[in-house]
Amino acid sequence: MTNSMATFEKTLTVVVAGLLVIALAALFVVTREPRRGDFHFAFLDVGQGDGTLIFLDAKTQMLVDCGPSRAVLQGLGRQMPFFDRTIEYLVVTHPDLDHYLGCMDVLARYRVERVWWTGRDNANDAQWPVFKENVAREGAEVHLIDRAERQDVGETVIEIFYPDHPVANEKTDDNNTSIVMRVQHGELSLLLTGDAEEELEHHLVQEYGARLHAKILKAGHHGSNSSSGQEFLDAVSPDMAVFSAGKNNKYGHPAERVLRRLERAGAAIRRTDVEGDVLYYP
Amino acid sequence: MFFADSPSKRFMMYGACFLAGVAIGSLALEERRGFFVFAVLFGVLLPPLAVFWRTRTARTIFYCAIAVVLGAGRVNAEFPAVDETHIASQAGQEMVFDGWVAAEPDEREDHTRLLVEVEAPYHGRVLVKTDRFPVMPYGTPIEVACELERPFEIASGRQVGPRNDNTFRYDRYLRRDDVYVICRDAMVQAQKAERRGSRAIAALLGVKQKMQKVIGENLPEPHASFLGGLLYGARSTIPAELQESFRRTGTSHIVAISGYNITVVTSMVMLALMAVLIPRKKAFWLAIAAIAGFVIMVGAQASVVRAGAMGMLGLTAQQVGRLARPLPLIVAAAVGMVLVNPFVLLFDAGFQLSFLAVIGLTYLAPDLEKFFAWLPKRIGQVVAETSGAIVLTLPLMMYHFERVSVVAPVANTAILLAIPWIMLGGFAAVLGAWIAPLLGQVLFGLTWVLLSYVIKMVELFARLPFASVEARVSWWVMAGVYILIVWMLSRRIAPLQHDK
Repeated sequence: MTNSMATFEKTLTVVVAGLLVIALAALFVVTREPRRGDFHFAFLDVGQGDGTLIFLDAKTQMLVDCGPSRAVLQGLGRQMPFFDRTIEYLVVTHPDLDHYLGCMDVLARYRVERVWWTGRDNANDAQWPVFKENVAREGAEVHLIDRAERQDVGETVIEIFYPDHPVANEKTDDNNTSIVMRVQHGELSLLLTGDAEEELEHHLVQEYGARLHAKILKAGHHGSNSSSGQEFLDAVSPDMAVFSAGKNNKYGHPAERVLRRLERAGAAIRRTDVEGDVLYYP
Repeated sequence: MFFADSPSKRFMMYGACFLAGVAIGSLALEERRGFFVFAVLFGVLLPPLAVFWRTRTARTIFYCAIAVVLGAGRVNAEFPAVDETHIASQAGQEMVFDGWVAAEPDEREDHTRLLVEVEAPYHGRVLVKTDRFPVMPYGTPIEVACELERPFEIASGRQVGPRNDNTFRYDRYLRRDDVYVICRDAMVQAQKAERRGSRAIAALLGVKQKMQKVIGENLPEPHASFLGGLLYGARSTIPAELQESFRRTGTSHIVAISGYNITVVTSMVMLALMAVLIPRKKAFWLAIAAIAGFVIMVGAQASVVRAGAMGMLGLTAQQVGRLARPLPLIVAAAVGMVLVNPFVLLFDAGFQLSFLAVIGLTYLAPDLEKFFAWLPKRIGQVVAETSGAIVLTLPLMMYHFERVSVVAPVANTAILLAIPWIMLGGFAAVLGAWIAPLLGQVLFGLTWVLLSYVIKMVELFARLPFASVEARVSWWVMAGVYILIVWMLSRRIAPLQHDK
């Protein structure tokens, strides 16, 4: 009697375990994002800051800024495949907290192969030197951006418009030393401007004009009123604008006027503070 | 029952009186008073005790009264004497002081909190809120520049309504850590000086950090933080949304170090030791040592020490081989912990909840098991244990958190069987990664599947609109319910013990 009970329990355990495995498998199949092309963008919801993840191909990612906190790790956890623990390119547009601080966590958790930065230090921030130490410890290949250049990664072309000269000691606001880059893959193009304000936007329009045109624009400075001027929007003429800002942030980003300006320019609006991670597949 | 006629019953009775004294003292006292009052109370109580010595009831009552006075006195003794060299006397001042990091840094989403032991010319402790970097590990000598403030009561974010006794008293909460003054936005600089604190603690925390590092390098978020919560109670980095989901589904307890985690660790250690043919008796001492090490490793916060003590008590009871009678042990543990830190009794919801949960597990769950006999045995057990713990903690949860998770029994049953496997898998994966990275990756992969299952389940249940409903009780209703429960349980326990 007890023997048959024990056998029954064993059988039951096996059956339950089997069902659990099948249920798990089903759960993962059902909840998986439908597989589309490998190249895509994920504007991560990192709170009040920037974190743009570009999937150059199935295995190669470029992360442009990391937001102000650990939240970037949640975003990477949501978007990167479980087994991929390497970020091939990490771009720090400028040394402000809401762009670089989360990179400390990225460096701690992921293998970072290359770091792009402008060479400009943030003298008023005691945490910035720690970041530079951590980059050195990571052993990543550091690439200084101090002139306009073009980088080809597979079929993707990355044009760096700014800084077009060394900005390490330039007497200006950090925001206007931001790396400005255009990513082109087939028909699709994305313009990233960091926290560039109208002063730098003006310079870009003068220098590059129609070359700034991009299908997707990540609105500068989280949609602040100090950026996305009319002249600049005319040059870029985006089909879609993405705002990377925190829910109920204290700065009121994105500014109502900027939203309206972009709507008038005919761009579809997408916001990380409203929908979380903003994904775009070609 | 009332005429405590066995040593263990008498002990429980006076223990309860002592705890009542601590409760009264905690509510009545806000700072250290002279001991004169307590001496007078003693003086008043002793002569009648001598007079009524022969009457048993009177004697019991006087003994109890003395225990109450001792309890209140213990609370009074816990307050620091704030003289001009105590750092709390400097509240309101902008100042620079030296000290060292006296506990593992509490790393939050965008800042870190340091418990700082202040050094000459001042003494005392300060809770310092500062930037995340550079990291200041335990024992680091530091210089702090900030404005010292007294912690104040914070109205809970919820609508308080007509009853406003539920404002969160941050000042009382911090008393547990002997903190009477805090500072925000502090500038903290490491000093070039010898490391302070205990080497042993630093070494154990080092082990924890190594584990944390390996987990972080191998698992994405939120899985890594969740596993950290399960293995060593590091839950501050679990994202707010997931924590809210745990709350809505009544499963937060799995990411706090509790008797449960300790039990899992102990049985794992015992099994491993006996597998390599170490005799049970020696294995016992090693398991005790393992618990002690684990407690220190995870930071030795009050909650963990409590869980560790419970684990050791349970293990000892098993070892001595007599029928485990947990209630005296539970009361002994409570009295012991309150003796060490009287403020946990009223100002630490975790302390209260874990004791109630243990009582529910040991006294209520066995009775509930027969209601779930139709389920497979293991699952029935889990359901009964979960329900027992829930029934006993429910009134207190309603009082503290003003809401009730409706899906808790189902959600807990759905995930609890996976938890020991996750803990086992997690430990194995960490060890595996130290031996060979590839082995670690495979084991982390398996653990990741189970972690994903639990996270998905919790999120799924939390998404149900009725998962958690608002429910409030006032303190006297709560107290009434507990008196009723204690009465019912004691009626059931008494005949049971006479049978033996």
